[in-house]
Parts: sequence; structure tokens; C-alpha cells
Amino acid sequence: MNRLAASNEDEFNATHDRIARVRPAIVTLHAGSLTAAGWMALPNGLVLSSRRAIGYPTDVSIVPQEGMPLPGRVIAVDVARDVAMVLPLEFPGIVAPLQIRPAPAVRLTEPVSVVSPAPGSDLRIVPARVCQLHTGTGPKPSLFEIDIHAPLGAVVLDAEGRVVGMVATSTLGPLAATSTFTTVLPVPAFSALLGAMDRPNLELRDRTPLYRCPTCEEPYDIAAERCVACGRVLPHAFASTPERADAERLVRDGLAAIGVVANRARVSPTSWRFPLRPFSTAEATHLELTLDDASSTLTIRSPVVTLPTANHEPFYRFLLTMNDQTTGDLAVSIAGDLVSIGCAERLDGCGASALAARIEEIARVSDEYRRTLADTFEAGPKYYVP
Amino acid sequence: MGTVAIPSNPVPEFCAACGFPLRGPRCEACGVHRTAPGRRTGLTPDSEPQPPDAELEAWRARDPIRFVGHCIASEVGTTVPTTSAQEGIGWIFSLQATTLFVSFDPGAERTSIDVPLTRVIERQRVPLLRAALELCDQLLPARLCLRDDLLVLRRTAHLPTLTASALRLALRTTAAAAERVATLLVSWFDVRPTFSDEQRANLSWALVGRSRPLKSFSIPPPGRSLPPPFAPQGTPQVLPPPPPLSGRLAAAEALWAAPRAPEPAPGASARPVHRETPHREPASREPASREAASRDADELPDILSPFFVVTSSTSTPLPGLAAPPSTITPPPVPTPPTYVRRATPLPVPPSSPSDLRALYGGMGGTLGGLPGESRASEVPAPLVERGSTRRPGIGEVSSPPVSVPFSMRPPAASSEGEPDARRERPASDRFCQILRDAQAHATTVSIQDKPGVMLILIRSTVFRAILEHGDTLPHTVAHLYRATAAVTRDLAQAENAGRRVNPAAIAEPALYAMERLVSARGQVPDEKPLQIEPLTSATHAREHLSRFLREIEAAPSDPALRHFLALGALSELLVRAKLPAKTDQRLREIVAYAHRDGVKGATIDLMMTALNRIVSQ
Repeated sequence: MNRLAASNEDEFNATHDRIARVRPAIVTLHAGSLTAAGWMALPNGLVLSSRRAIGYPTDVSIVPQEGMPLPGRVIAVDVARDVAMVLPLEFPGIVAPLQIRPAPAVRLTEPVSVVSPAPGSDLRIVPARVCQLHTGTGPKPSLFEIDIHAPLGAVVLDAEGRVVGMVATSTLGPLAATSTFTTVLPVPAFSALLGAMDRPNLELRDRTPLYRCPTCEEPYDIAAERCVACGRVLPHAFASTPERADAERLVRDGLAAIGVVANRARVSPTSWRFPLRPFSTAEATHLELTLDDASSTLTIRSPVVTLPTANHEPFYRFLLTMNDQTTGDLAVSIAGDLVSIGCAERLDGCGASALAARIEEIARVSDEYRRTLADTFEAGPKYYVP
Repeated sequence: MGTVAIPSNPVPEFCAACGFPLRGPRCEACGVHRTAPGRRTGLTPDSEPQPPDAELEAWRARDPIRFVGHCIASEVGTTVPTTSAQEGIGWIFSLQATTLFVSFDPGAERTSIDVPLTRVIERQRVPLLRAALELCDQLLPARLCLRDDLLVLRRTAHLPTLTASALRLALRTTAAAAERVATLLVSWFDVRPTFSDEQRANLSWALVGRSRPLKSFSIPPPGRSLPPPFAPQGTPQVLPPPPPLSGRLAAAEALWAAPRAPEPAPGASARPVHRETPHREPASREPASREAASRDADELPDILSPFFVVTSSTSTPLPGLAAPPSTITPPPVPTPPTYVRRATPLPVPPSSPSDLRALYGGMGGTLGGLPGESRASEVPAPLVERGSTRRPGIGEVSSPPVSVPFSMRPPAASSEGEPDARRERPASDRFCQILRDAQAHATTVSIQDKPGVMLILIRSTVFRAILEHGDTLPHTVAHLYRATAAVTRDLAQAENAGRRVNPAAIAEPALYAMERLVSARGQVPDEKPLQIEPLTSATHAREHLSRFLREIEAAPSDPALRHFLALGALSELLVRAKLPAKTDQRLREIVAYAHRDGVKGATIDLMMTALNRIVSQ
């Protein structure tokens, strides 16, 4: 509780008690390269989070505040309400789900607390107040806003520590762009879905999520940019822009050629990160693709090893000598303690199959370099960049 | 009555780039578009007139050297002469106050841009190396490399994927990046400039350092590489580590367990790659009488004379068989005792001056002698009448008659000593490389309007191909010889014909034939066996070489071109003349040495001295 924010001592004490109660239920979800806040909502270990925050994963790592990470799987989503439900595949033992307050509804100016995992192993709890209420119409759910910024998936508690909502993506449309507050999905908006999942863990494991267009409710393909039924742009985590349309299309097609869904691998408006096995028996290497500002060059990087603890000078010399001829047109570089290999590919005139071949080639080369550098310099192999 | 518009800016009569007379919108010699006077320098890249895209594309596919040269010329504002680089054809020029070393590897179709930045200073070496690796991430697609203690910014590109504008942009951005990095390194480490003023005035490829591919890593194919599984042409050898800068460094290097050059096989002598100029022995001082004897009216110079050879049991040169001065002797081959000389293969010279010194030092000052010669000369050989066929002595295999088809000649001996780069590449690749080099030189020669030089350039190409690939690619070589017959006939005849016919008209079909052979990667249908017209007498040979030398002297002062021509002259002599084994062997050593050492002043001097000696004696 290093960064505990409390206005006065009484409130601090009350908050401390609440933290002690909610702490076991607050988790961090790692979905590929994306990270989101989550919280346990049911005794079967079901975790709720923001669908947009975790993208389109199938397998998710659930990291509790204490204890070992658990493998999890997305079993249900509600794209319109921005809700994702993740089920742990291993029983987490004693589960203390957060208590939910379905009624009464939150009132304006009601004091609430937003709880989310902080980087590291800390828990962050921030007091806030309900500052706006929005009544849902048609498919749009009811929402309320709080007067602070909070991460997607964070749980919102009332003064007694009961869940009153979850931070989600705004569905306010143009209003959201002008709002300086954080949108919260109230409990009634997802309580029905939650009730359907209140079943034994084993019964839910085989479920797969179905992504439906938030407008027309028709299922959509996550690789598509628009709904084939209504034609609207789908709510991916990062929207395509006309300026990058050609480059994004090339990346999408190139990744599809190696079996990677670009929308699933996208981690920022201009970068994609995904695991790839250079060989069937090799460990997957995470590669990162980054577009430059002009969308004319794509940089492909792969981690290789961490810096060895000794013999730095010969190691540096060796890497720079490799850069001369041995790496072809690839470059070995160092950032912090990480040695990575990469190249910059011009996109004009580049085809999807050529890009796919290039990506696979870099995965193979990084695997070869990783083994050799690890054997030669006792440098720790590195497959993933957090 | 109509009016005729008079242009306010008259069209120039000569090419602004090369000076060749203009007869159309583009210069026929260098391909540069007609430009107004004064536009050669200070051109902004975007405002410069460009050949049509389709034409540039055609250049890239058919004449990549010209394509790269044009892009460089467009960027620099003037034509940059080609040189022989470590990886193939090269250009050295300054752009934005940065000196760029651009090379094109025809085999790998790869263009490299190298910019030497600074030398690693001893006390700051670890921080500097670390900083260089950190900068690599921001410099993509360029990267920083280390060659011994020289830090080089390098960018490579697969030429088929480059448009002209992309290549020019690459030149500009690399120069800008180099300047930026150099400024950073000066700010951070107070490093000094790479070149001294003297070096800047005489830029050469030696200044960019020698690269060291690491054998335990496979070189990944170029980006978007559809084609060729070729070993990169001109790939430099993996050299043994240089002498360490310090004891600490040597110790550190030992800890790398880094890839090393393969250990020599048991019993084989390790030959470090030759790095220095060839060792020269002082010129022999022959008695005047001996010289006079060797200049008999119809006598061949001693290096050529097969007809007066009298071998004796001693290695002392006999009258009329004066040992050639050592200045034309390349570093000799350390020969095992059981070595039997063969005339056909190119022998391998020792790789280092130390070998040379050791060898000559052990010979007690018997200059010009070669290991194996004394052994051969220990066998009494019969005196041979002038004009009769010389019979080879025991332990000696003479050159086969030149009229024997190459396909019937004995196979080449092991070429273990050949440079790895040459040995590992397929013969057809090496053959095509000769043709590509010739095409590059032909561009230079055509600009300079030297028709005679063009003719000997083609001769050189043909006879180099015959000498080096006659046994491995007999049909290809025969095709080349037949297709260039108009040029490769006797030089005197060609000269006489040249007075009546434009030499360029003779050369063009030959160059076209070369282009076709390169396109076909040296693959041709079966041809009739090669029949080469021999040089029938010493006088004939002298006159021929004399003409050859005149044209070499008239050639542009491009070391790579002179190297190519001198090598061609020696090759022709070896192919067409019937030489005594000793002379044959010696010339082959020179040729092998020239191949091994590449374009260096000392190598060119060695070949030119040999040719001059043959002509003058």
C-alpha cells in the first residue's frame, strides 16, 4: 500500500480494512502483451475484466496479488458492454469473490473507491465520487461516471466494500470524447451475464466466447475491420486509420499468412506483438512489429538474450562484429539488459507472403543466435519482452 | 508565315556529366539526361531530371552497376568512378560532408553503404561499444559494426527491392545518420575523426576496414529474398584474429569461445591471409653479357624462351637463361618435396610477407629461384633445337598445346590454397563475375572514348575466362570466344581493322554476348571444342604484348581497370603462348598472386613489370 491515497486518517483506516478484504480477489490479467485489471466475481473463480483491455485472447494468465499465476481462458464476452469473463483452468483454492450490490443503484455524488492492481505487487485504491449518471436506451447500457481516471477493468466499490460497477470503455459516443471522467459499467448491466456463469468451474471450461457486433448483435470475425452485417467499424482495441490503411492491411495479411490474427496481436496503434515458434519443438519467441510515423517502414524485433553478467567488452565486440556481415541485413542491438535482433522493412512493394517469410526468418535467426550466445557467453535466453 | 521559337537557354552540346557529345535527350555514353550548364553541382535531388522510371527499372534488372552508379551520380551531382571493392564493385564519394563507401555485390545482388565513423579509443572502449549497440536500435535499417577497432555505420539492401528513389534516399539518410552518430560520439566520448587529411585526399577501400563474418552463424538471406541461394559474392574470408590491441583484450577474446578460422589440417601449413604489400627482393644485377645474350635477334626473352632452355643439375642460371629479376616474381609457393609441378592450375602464392621472407631467406640469396625448380633442373634435360618441340623433363609436366581442347586437358590440380571466396562459389558464378567486372569497366572506358582500350578490355575478359574456366566451363568459354572472335583475333589485325571500322562497333556485339551469358548464368548449349590461335614466335609475342601495353598505358587511371587489363594480358600469354614450364609456372604464380591480393598498387606494378620485362628483353 505504498501509494495509498487517503484524505484523512479515518478514511485511511476504513480503506485499510476494505483492502484487506478485497485484496485476494484483485488480479492482473496478462493476455499476450496486453495487461488489464480484473477481479473475481464468483465462487468458481470467474474473473471479470474489460474486453477491450485484453483484446481477443483465448488463453490468459491470471496473476493474483499473492500466489502463483494461474492459467485462464476467456469463456464469454459482451462486446457492447465491454465485459470479458475469464475462468481459471486450475482451481485457485479458497476463493473470496467480491460482494456485489445489485441494488440500490448508485446515486449522484456517492463516495466510491476504485481498486486496481498497481505495477509490481501493490494494490491501488483511489477514492472517487459519482459525478454523472447515464440512462441506457436500446442496446446501450446504463452507465455512470466517476471523477477520476482509472484503468479499464478496475472494480468500483461502495463505502462498504461492495461492488457497484467496473471501469469499462465508454459507449457514450461523441460525449465520451469530451468527457474528462471515467465511465463505469454498473452491476445491473452485467449481473444477468454473471448469473449465467454462476456454475461449477468444470462446466464452463469448454465455453468459447462469441464476439457480437455491439450495434446489430451479429457475430463477427475478429480479423475483420467492419461488421459484415451492418457494415460498422468493429470496436477493436485500436482502430484503423486511413493514413495507415495500406500498412495495416499488409501487416494484417502478413500475420494471417503465419496464422496470427493481427487484431489479437495488436498492442498499440502502431505495433503488434505475438509469439511464434521457429520450429515445432522450439520455445515460442515473441516478435514485435512496429510501424514508423510515415507508415512506410516496419521494424521487426525479437528478443535474443539478456546481458551476461561478465565479459561485457568481448560480448559487445562480438555483437558489433556480428552486425558487420553475419547478420545479413539484420541488426543486433541492446536496450537495457536486453539484446535483441531486428530489421527495418520497407513496405512499398512488399507483399504479404514476403513479409510473412521475413518474420519467420527472424524468428529462426533469433533462435539460432539465442542458443549460440547463451552457450558462448552464458547469456540468459530471452523469449519475451514484458 | 510561322515563327520559330528560339529557346532562351540553348541546349548544351556536350554532356554535363561526362563531356560526351550529345545527340539526343540523353548522353549516349553515360546515360545522364541533357542538362543545362552549371547544373552538375548543387543539384537538389528532387529537382534533378530523372530518366523514365521504366528505363531505370530496366537498368536495375539488366545493368545494376549502372543503376547504382546513376543513383550515386544523381545524388552527388557528378559521375563517381567505380573501383574494385571487397564485395564487388565500389564507389567512394562524399555526401553531406560524409564519406560513403558504396559497394555492389553482383552475386548476392546486394548493395552496401559503409561509413567509417571513428576508431575505438582504448580508455573509453567499453562505454563506446555499449553506446554503439544502444544506438543500433535507433538507426535501423542501418547499424553499427566493428572492424578491428574501427566503428562503421553499415546499411545493406537487396537491390531488386530498391527503386532509384529508395536507393538515393538510402544514401542520403545513411549519410545523415552517420553525421548524427559521429556528432554524438564526439559529444559523448570526444572521439577523433576517422580520417586524417592525408587519408581523406587518397580514399581507398582499405580505410573502411576488413569485415569478419563469423562462421558459426549462418548469414540470413536478404529481406524479401526470393532468389538466389548463392554464397554472397566477394564474401571475405574469415581471417584469424588480428594481433590483439592489448593483453587484456587478447585474454578477453579467448573467453568468447567465438568462432575461429578452421584449424589447418595436420601436415598442412597454416597460411594467414596476406595483408601487406608483396615483399620485393632487390633487382638482380645481371651481367651485361648475359643480358645481351638474352636479346638475340630472334630469341625469346628468358622468361618466355622455351627454345634455349638448358637445364642443368645446378640452379645457377645459364647464359641465355638468366633468371628473371625477382621484381617480377610473386611470393613463391612453399612446395612440399614430393610436389610435381603442373602447368595448368594456378598455383597459390604464400599469403604473407613472412612466408616470403622465410622462403627467400632460406635460399641463400638465389634470387628468382623457386622451390621445385632446382628439383626439376636436377634432372638433365636434353638440349632442344630451336623451333623443335620441347620435351618436358622428368618430374615436370609441360603446358598442353594450346590447340588441345580444354575439355581434353588434364583436370586442374587441387586448389586448396585458393581463397575461400573463390573456391566456395560455383565456377559459373565466378565466370559471370568476370563478365560483370568487364561490363563495369566498359562503362568507364566508353565514357572516356578509348576504343583501343575497349578492345583489350574484351580480350582480357575472354582470355581470363579461358585461363580460369576453360577446364570447368569448356562450352561457355568456347561460346564466349566464338562470340567475340572479331575482337580476340590478333591485336595487329584488330588495330588495322580498327582504322577502317569503328572499334565501338566491333566491341558492341562482344559486350552483348557477355550480357547474354550473364543472363544465362553461364549456361549454354554444347559448343565445338575451343581452338585458339597461338602466338607462334617470341617476336610475335613481344609485338603483341607491346601493343597490349600501349593500350594499358592509355587506359583511364583506374587501378581496378589496370589490374583487370594486366591480368588479361598475362592470361592471354599463358593461353596462347607455348611457354617453358618454368616460365609458365612463374607467370601463373603472378596471376594467382594478383587474384589473391586484389587491386593493389603493388600487385599492378608486379604484373606491369613482368609484362615490360617480357617485351623489353
